[in-house]
Amino acid sequence: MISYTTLGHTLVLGGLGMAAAGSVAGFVAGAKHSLGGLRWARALSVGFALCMIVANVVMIAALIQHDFSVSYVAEVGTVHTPLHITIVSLWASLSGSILLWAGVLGIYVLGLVIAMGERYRLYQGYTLGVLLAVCVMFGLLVAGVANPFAPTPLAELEQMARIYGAGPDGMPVDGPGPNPLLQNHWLMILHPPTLYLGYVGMSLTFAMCAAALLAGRLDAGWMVPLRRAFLIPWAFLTLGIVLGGWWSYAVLGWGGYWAWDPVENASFLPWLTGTAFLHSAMMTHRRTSLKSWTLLLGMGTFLLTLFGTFLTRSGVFNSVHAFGTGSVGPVLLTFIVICGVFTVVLLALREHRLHEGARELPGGRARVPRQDQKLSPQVLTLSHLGLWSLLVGPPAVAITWALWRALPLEIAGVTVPVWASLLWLPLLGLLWSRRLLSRDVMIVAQNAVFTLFTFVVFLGTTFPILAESLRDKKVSVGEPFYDAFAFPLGVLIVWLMGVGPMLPWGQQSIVGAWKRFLGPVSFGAIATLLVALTGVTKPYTLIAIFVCAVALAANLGELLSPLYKRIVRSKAQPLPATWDLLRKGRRRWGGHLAHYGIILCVVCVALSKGYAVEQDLMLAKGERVTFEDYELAFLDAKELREPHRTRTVARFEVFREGRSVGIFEPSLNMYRTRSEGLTSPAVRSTPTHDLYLSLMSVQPGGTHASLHLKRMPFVVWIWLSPLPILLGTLLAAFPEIRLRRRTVDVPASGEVAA
Amino acid sequence: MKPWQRLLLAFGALAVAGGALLFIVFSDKLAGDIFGDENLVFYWSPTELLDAGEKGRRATVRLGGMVRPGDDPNWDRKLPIEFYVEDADQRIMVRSTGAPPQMFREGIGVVVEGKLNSDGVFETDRVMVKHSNEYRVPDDEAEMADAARTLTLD
Repeated sequence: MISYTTLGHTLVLGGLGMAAAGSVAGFVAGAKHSLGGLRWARALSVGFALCMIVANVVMIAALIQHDFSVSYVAEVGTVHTPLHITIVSLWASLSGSILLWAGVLGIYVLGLVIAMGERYRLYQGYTLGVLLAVCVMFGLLVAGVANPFAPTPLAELEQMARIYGAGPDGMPVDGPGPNPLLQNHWLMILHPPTLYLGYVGMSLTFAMCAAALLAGRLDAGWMVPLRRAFLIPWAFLTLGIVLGGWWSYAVLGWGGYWAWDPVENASFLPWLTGTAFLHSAMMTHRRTSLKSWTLLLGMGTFLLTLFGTFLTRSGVFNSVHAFGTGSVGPVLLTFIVICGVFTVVLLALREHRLHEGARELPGGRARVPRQDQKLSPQVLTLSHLGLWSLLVGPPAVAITWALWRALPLEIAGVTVPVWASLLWLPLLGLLWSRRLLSRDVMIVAQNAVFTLFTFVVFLGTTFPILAESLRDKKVSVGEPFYDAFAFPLGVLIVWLMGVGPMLPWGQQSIVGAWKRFLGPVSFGAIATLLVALTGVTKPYTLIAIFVCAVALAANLGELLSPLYKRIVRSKAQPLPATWDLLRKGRRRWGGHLAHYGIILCVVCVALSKGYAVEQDLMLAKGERVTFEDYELAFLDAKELREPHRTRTVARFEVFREGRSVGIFEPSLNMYRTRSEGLTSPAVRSTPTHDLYLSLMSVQPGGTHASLHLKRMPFVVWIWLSPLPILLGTLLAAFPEIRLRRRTVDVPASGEVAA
Repeated sequence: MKPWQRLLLAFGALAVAGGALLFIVFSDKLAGDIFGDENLVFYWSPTELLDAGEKGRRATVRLGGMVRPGDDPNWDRKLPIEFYVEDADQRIMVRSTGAPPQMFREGIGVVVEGKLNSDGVFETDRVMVKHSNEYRVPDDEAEMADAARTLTLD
C-alpha cells in the first residue's frame, strides 16, 4: 500500500499542476472567447478542487490512523485525544491549516464552476484564469514551505520513540498532541474553519472583479453572480469574527471578547471593506455608477484577507493565534505584493473600458416631485433645510466636538489651534443639495465611513509591526485609540443604516421623506427615554441606544409598511401576501435582517462595555465575599487527572439575593505540551447579564484561590447576533425559487435591492 | 486621463501613502500625536524606566523583568500583591490589584502594565507571566514532569 506521504504529496502536486494549466487555459479562453479553452479551464478547475479536497481527506485518514511518519501527524497527533479532536487537529497547526485552506479553496472553485455552468462566457474564462492563479499560489505553499505531507525526519521519529515509547516496528506509539487551545473548548473547533470559509471565499470576489476589468465590461448580468458569490463568504466572515470573540470570552479568561488585538483586527479589516463592497455593489448594480470603486473594494477585500493570513500565520505577532513560525511569512508577503500590484495595474489600465457605452444617469436640475408641488417655494426650501440638518447635523456636531477636544495639536512642529475645528463646517455647504435625501447619497456616505474605519484600524495594526521591524522598537497601540474612533464611526454607521433604507433611490419627495423620517426618530427618542428611566445614564451608551432604536424602527418600518398596505388597504390574504413580498424582495428582506443582527450586536456591545464591573479577589478556603449583587464562597480546590491533561478545579458556591444559584467550577487546565496552564472560566449566563469567574491561581494545598470576577450585562445576545445576518444572507443569496412554470420575466420593477 | 497617466498616479498615490506611514513610524512625536501618547505602550526594563526619569513617570508602559519577593512574608497571599521586578542592575517595587496567574512565583519573568507613581512604586492591575507563546513539544521527560508540576496542589 502506498504511504500517506506519497499519496498526499502526489495529490497536492497534481492539484498544483492542474491549477497552473487551468489558469493559462482560462486566460486564453477569456482573451480569445474560445469555448474549447473555457471547457479545458473548467475541467482543470474541477481537477484542482478534487485533488485538494481528497488531499484533506488523506490527511484526516493519516491523523486517525496516527501515522507518525507523516510530519504533520508527528507534530500534532496523539493517541489520547478523542476522535473529533483528532480530526480537527487538521487545523491545529500551521501546515495543516494551510492544507485546509487549499481544501476550502477547492470547495469554492468547485461550487463556482457548477453554479456558473457554461454561462457568463464573457467573464468566465478570465475568472477561472485569475482564480486558478490564486490556487497556484496556495498550492505552492502546501507543496513547498508548509508541506504537511513531508516524511518525518528519522531523528525526530527516534526522539519521539524515546519519549513516548516505540512499537514493535520501531515507530513511536504516541505523539505530542495538538495545541491545547484547540482541545480546551468546542468553539475552537468551529471558529477557525468558519473564518477560513470567509477568508478563502474572497478569492472568488477577487477573480470575478478582475475578470470584469480584463473583459472591460461590468454589466448587471455579471453583478448578480458577483454579489451572490460575495455574500456567502461575507456571512461566514461575520460569523467567524463573532465566534472568535465568543471563544476569546469563553476560553482566555480575561473576561472580554474584543481587545483590538492585531489578530482580531486582521479579521475585521476585510469585513469592513467587504461590507462597504456589499453596499457599493448595490449602486453599481442598480445605478451603474461607482464601478471602479466597487471593483477596488472587492479586490482590496481579498488583499486584506491575505494580509490577515500573513498576520496570523507568519508569527509576526507573539499572539495566541500566531502559533508556530516558519517561512510562510515572506512567501505570503510576496503574494500580497503580487496581488496588490496586479490590482492597481489592472484598475489603472482597464478602468476606462468599463464606462464605454455606459448609460449616463439622468442629470440636470432636480424636478420638484408632484407631491411637493403644493408647497410654496419657501416652505419647500425650509422643509428641505430642516430635514437636511436633522440628517447631517448630529454627525457634524459630533465631528466638530471630537476635533474641538483633540485640539490644540502639534503636528510636525506646526500648532493647530482650537478654532481650526470649525474650519471644515463651510464644506457642509458644498453638500447642500436637495438630492442629498436619497439612498444613493447615503450609500456613498456609508462607503466613506467604512473606508475611514478601515484606514484607522489598518494604521493601528501596521504601526507596531513597522516600528518593530524597522526600528527594533517594541510598542503596542492601546485599546483607547481604537475606541476613540470606533464609537463615533460606529454611531455614524448605525445612523446611516437607519436613514439609508428610509430613503428611496434617486429623487425624493420632501413630504414623503418627512413622513418616513418622523416615525423612526420619535420611536428612537421614546425608546432612549425609557431606557434612561431604567437607570442607564451614561451618555455614550444612550447615544448608541438612540441610533440603534432609530435604525431598528426604520428597518422594521420599511419591511412592514408594504405588507401593511397590501393586507389592510388592498385586503390581501396575510399569508400569500407575505409570501409574495418575501419572494419578490428577497434581497431587500435579507438586507433588513442583516441590519437587525448588526443593531443587536451594537446595542449589546454598548451596554456590556459601558456597564461591566470587574474585580480581582484572593479568597481563603471557606471565605465568603460580596461582588455586586452576588455573594461567593470558596468551597475547596481539587486536582483531577485526565489522560491528556491535569485540571485544578476550584469550587465556588454563588448566592444571589440570599439564595444559592449553584456551584461554579472554574479551572486551570494543564496540558502535557504547554508550559503554562489554560484557564477555563465558569460563566453564569442569564438573559440580562453574565457573571464571569476566571480562576487565576490556586495556592499549594488549595488554601487560597485568586479569582478574576466580572459582571457584564447582555453578553449572550452578542453571540446570537450573527443569526439574523446568516438568515438574511441565506434569503438574499439563495438561488431563485421557481414554483410555477417560467413565463415572461417581469423587468426589474418587482425587484427591490436591499 | 490616459491609462498610463492613471497608472503613474496610482503608484504615486501609493508611494505617498507608504511614505506617510514610514514618516509616522520614524517620528516618535508624530506617532504620539496620532495615536495619543498615553495609547502607545512601550516595553521597558527597570533600568530603562528609571533612567528615563520624569518621562517614564507619565506614560503607561509595560515593565518586564524577574520577580523578587515583596517585603511582607505573606506577599503572595493577598491583594494588592507587592513584589519587585528586577533586571541585572535595578529593581522596582510593583503593586498590583490584579491577581497574578498560576505560574507567577519568585524568579519567573513577568510583564506588568501600568505607571510608575511619584513614590517610585509601579502600579498595575495586570500581571502577565512571560512565556514563549510558541507551541512546542517538551524535549524530554524531565521537562514534561516540570511542566506538570506547575499545577499540582502539593
